[in-house]
Amino acid sequence: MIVDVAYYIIVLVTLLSVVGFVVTKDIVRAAGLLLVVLGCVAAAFAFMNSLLLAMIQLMVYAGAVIVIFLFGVMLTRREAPTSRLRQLVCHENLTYLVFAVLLFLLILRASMGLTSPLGYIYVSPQLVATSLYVELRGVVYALAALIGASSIGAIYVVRRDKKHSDSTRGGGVQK
Amino acid sequence: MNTQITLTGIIVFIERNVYLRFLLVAIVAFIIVSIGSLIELYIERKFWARIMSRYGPTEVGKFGTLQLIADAVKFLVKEDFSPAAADKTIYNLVPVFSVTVSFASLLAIPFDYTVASLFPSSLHPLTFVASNFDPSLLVAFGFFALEPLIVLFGGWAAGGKYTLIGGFRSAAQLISYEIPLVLSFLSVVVLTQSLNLFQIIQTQAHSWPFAVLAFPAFITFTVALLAELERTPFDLTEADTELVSGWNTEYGGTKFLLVYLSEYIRAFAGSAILVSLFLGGWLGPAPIPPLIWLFLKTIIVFTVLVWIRAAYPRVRIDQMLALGWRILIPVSAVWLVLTPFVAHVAMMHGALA
Repeated sequence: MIVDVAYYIIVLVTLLSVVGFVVTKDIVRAAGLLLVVLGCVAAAFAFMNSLLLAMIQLMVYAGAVIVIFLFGVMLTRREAPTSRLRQLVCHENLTYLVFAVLLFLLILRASMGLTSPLGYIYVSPQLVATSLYVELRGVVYALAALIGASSIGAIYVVRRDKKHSDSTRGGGVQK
Repeated sequence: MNTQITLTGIIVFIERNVYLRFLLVAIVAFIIVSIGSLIELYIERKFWARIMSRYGPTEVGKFGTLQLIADAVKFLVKEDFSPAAADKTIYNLVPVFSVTVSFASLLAIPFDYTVASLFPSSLHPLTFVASNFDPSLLVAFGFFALEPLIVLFGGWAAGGKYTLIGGFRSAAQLISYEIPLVLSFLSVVVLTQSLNLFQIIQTQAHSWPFAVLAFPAFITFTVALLAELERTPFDLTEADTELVSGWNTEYGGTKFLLVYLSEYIRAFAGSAILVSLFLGGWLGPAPIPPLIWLFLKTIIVFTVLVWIRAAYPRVRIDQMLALGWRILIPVSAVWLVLTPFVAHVAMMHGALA
């Protein structure tokens, strides 16, 4: 029981950090929050008895990749530019709402009808995971594809906006 | 008899609860490392002073033994300040995380086994061992790998030029030397076919010490460890004449005490890992208990690191990077390729179990 509570706390911290990572204006803090996300994912792996994977996650992603991000970020501008992406993410709360509702419905559906051997309704992470990745895997894959497509779309929007702003500034030549 | 049953019951209870086992190893590690860090600090001052023909601390307590307490009190009562340009949240969090990560790397070192072996042999000591889990070596280095991030965040959050340059230097150095460090311990992993530090030490009970059997890996690991611990001749990150004190220049009072403490905890953890990997860990002649052997070997390794610090000048940054990329990485990589052949030959001659 304590393990499950700890697991859900980690999940909550991960979700909050993800939201913070996207909405924060300070780019170094964003990298810090990404580090929290990656650390929490490593902790989640450890909870699933996959310590080797957890340590690889910690060494490679949290330990090395973030350092490269930070080198790039700290040597350039501290403030992130106000892009179309940020406008999309920060001002269109509808996006959040839709994703939150979809996620909630999915977990609710996954949790339905799961009861413990003793009879009372109790949903453990293992049961939810089994339900999500076995019974509802089609929906999960669809959501994953949607998130992937939105990421690619966001990159496209940012590149287009950058090209547009460069051309209005006079060829994008910066001293 | 009753006491016996109760103790067995406690052991079984601890054995069945994985979180209690980790709590146990945390408590044991905390006590041992606290004592170890104090001894390290004292040795560093006295030994270094002796090499430089100075006395070291002499005034406070017998032979200056209470000087460390006086220093700790001094740091604790100092004013707690933050620079105006600092990012306060990250600036305040960095020392805490630094100590936490340093302590976490001790989770993999089998101090708990050495404590358990002090109990009567009728209670099987192995039941106590919480650090006996499969990728324990990776756990130690997983937490070691987080240090560059903490340094980088600390240097940036303080808001100074010296701290930022110190942070960059430190992160570059730590990342560069992690590669030979990992390649070196991988050759031990190949020899023992295990990522478990406990089993690596047990293997050395029936083999030659890996410091002999994998001598090139031992040397590359020691040099890379010196760089990872940012000790002279690789203390470019805290080069006083260039960067005041590097990434921790703006830290003072209790925060500096935590940063300072984390450095010594890392030094203790690094020395203990080196001892466990190459020098047989707790193994030694019987009259001295394993706990004392492990502790003694760790302190001796640390003393050698202090000796190197006192004897060598600081290298230039290009020399440091060249040593890492042009010498240590190729040597450790070639040795890793040769290790299976060495293991085969050693097994044929009974040098490896």
